[in-house]
Amino acid sequence: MEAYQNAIDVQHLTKRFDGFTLGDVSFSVPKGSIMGFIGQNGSGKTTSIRCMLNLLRYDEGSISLLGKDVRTHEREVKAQLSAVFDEIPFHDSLTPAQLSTVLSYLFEEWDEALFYQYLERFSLPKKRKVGDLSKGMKMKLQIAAALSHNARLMIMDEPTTGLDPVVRNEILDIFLEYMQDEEHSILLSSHITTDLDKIADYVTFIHNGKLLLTGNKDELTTQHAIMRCKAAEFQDISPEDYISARVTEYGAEMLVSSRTQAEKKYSGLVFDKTNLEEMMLFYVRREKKEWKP
Amino acid sequence: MKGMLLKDSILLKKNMILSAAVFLFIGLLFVLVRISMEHGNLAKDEEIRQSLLSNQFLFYYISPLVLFLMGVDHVAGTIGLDMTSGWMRFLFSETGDRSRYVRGKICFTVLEYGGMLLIAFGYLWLMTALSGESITWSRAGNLSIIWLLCLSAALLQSLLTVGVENKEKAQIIMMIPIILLYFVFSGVMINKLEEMYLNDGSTPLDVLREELMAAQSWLIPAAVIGSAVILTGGYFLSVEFLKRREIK
Repeated sequence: MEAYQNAIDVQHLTKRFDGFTLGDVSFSVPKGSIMGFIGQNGSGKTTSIRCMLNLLRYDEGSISLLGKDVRTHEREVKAQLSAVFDEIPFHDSLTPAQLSTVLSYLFEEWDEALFYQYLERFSLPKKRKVGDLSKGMKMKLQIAAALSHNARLMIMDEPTTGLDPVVRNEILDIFLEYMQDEEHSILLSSHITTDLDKIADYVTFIHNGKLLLTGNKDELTTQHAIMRCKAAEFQDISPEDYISARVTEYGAEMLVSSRTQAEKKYSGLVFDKTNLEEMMLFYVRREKKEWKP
Repeated sequence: MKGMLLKDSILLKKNMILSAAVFLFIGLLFVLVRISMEHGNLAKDEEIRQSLLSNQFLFYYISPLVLFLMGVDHVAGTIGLDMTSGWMRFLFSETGDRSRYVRGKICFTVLEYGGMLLIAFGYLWLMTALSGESITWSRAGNLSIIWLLCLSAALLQSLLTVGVENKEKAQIIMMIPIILLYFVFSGVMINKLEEMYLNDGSTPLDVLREELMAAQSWLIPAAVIGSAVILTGGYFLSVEFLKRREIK
């Protein structure tokens, strides 16, 4: 595989369905980083991921994975990546031990010993059928399989959805371990922003098929801020200066995209650090501009 | 491909065991009838014995036919499962090799039917030995025609399942040519039966046997060519379907 800067490079991705369009989405995942792919259900995350995996044909744009166009170098690229879906793709009647044998023929670099290590670590039974495992166990099995064939890039679609916080944290820790190798990269789609707060280096936020923002997570959360004011003061604030505002009878909270500029302009107001969840909340309602909790 | 073969053999283990059990059950009945015709109660009634002897060619082919027919939707079933379980999405996400998937399914079908053919020849050998006869070219030819037709049906159903993305739809589509063939075949048979019955009082089974024997010279090459066309045409079409198919 040739040298590349970005593990994933999506440019002007457009995919049209009847009633939904994923339009002009562009973002990059630098090599050695974790990109959190955020958006509500139905925002286009899964469509984007399936376009990246060449499961869906996109109408416009380009996608390169590990420095190669996924459509023209599909086999070469896919030999180096792992995909994890929100639902386990393995047949119910297979056992993890049988699955290991099957996957050892599918992946050239399948590491059976590593797979069994993960099974042990996740307390997964080797000989119980997949159909008899709990949701959390199924997801752990899928992740164990994804981590056991030396993939450089993991593309995951809502892997932590529906899991309890303990299992979710366990899985996130595994991802962080995987990232110890600086050749590895992860795209992690989720609407659970706390997960991404914990592990993501970069975030891309899409809504209704449109890209809202993309960039370094720490920079974005530092640039943005929650600006608070009393109800009487809210009338003096220009709507152009904030993304949207949560208004109550006592006052208002606004998300501002440039904390430094807002602090200069509204020096008497209170500014608080924001997080991905709040950013998502305020950005989703940006067209309404003012909303009540 | 080995991985796919292994996976499908695990998925189909129960179905294959069931097919073998049904085959053994029916086969055993015919074996017992054949033994009884020589040494048991059926040997005592010459009229029944003669009637059975005149139709004994059915003994050779019914059990294998049942075995072959039971296998027709095995691989199509695994394709349906691959679609509903998400395996196909996983496989194409991780390898992207559509043609290998189709080759794997064809290979499994051919291997499964190859095994069935060996079993069927073993059974034919046993039945002919019980009659004090041997496997003739004609009998081997008849068995091969039945095998090829069922293999073609299995391949066609698998490839149709890939094409229409649904096992049940594929089964319905498969029924159309089968029903047409049935009407054509029964029309021909009725005409022949009328003709032969008027001449020598032949029964429908006599007509069927006569017709099969007469048609063997062209039916075997036709079945081979038909299977080859289904195999190659179906392979390329299925790969093309899979390449164009969007996996949601």
